[in-house]
Amino acid sequence: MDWKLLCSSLLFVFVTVIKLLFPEQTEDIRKQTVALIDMDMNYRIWATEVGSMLTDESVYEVVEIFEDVDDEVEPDVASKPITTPMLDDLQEASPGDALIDRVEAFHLSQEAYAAYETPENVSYEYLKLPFSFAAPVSGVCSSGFGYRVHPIEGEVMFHYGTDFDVKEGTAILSFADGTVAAVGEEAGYGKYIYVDHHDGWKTLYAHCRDVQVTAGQVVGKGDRIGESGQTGRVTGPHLHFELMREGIYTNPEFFLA
Amino acid sequence: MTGLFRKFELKPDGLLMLSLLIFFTDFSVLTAIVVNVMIHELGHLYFLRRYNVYIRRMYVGFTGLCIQCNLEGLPRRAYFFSAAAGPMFGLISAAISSFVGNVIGNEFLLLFSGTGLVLSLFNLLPVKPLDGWRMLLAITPKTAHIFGDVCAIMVFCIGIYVMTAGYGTALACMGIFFLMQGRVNPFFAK
Repeated sequence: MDWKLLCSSLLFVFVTVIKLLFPEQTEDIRKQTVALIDMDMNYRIWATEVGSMLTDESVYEVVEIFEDVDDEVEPDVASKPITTPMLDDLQEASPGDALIDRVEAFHLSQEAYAAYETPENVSYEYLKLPFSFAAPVSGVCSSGFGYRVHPIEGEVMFHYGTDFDVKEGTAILSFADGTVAAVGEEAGYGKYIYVDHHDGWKTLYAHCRDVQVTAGQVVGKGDRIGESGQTGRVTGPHLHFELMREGIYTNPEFFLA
Repeated sequence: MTGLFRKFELKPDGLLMLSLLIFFTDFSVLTAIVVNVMIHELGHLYFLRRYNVYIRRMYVGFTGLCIQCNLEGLPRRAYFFSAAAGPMFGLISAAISSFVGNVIGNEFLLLFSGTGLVLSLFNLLPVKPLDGWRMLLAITPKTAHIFGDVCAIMVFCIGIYVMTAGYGTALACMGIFFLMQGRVNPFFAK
């Protein structure tokens, strides 16, 4: 009997059984070991990117021939800071002087775009939320609400949400208690999650790598609903976060500082 | 089919490698790697069969699927093409799967394509046990050994640089593996 083959077969069976029986318990050790080899690089995502880059441009041409790619009405998202000042780590903001400063800073940042009309479905006011809330991720705001130069289109367009610069795979937490209204995938937003909150308020989390909830599911404030990523039209990994009430978009940065 | 299985062997080190892969990678990554290796070896096998090479056996070793065959008297040209066939099959399948994956928006196909592309380009490196080096050997048998050694040292140095730049240790590990390689039997007729 070949004892080497016997030993390695036993190891093979043992390792496979361990992984199948205890997927959660061994996840940490697996991730740590992979991180030793990967370091800051995720080879899996990298390989996927390389694969998608291989035929990128030719594919878009072919797709455009076969189907009309309709232009999106809503402006898209970015990860590069262009107009808005950088904010520190995002946490629940306490109302007070800091809030007034933030609202003023926002209005100042938008003065450069005074020539542009404010869209009808947008409110620049600070509205008090009728529920408690928490930051969806902890990260730095890379592109804020309001007019900004679109990083892909290169022209001034309205940005209906806030972009948080977070690493791929960061847990996205629900902004407040509510019900998942819809999940899906779209060319611009990538994988997205809509959550309905109290009194007509709604939040959107876009460009997710992984959606971990289903429509109709009840979620609580701070519950993990997905993982951030860079699906859809992006220039890098980030979370695009929108806050709206009955179709009127408001600035999420007023609540998160 | 029975003939294939009679000639197919799973070595202990190959089994070790497989268990590491199963334990540490996702199912999709594992599938992508295994299918890509199969396509790669299929390329070699197709050309070897075309040149009427007797295939002694195939085995799964630590470095993947290997083909052992009798290359005595094989002309250089045939040797070159059968070595190049593996990476070429890999590149073609990567291009096709990337195209299809982009059109239908399938992430696994993109992962599969990226894995195949990296695997094929990696195999084209002119370093000792790889296909790129075998191609070089078919072109210039005299300088291939020294050139392969120099390239192995270069791969190791680049691997160390890439590691310090924060892109992982994979290339450095491969560099160490290349430096450990001894002389490879040139196989074809003198």
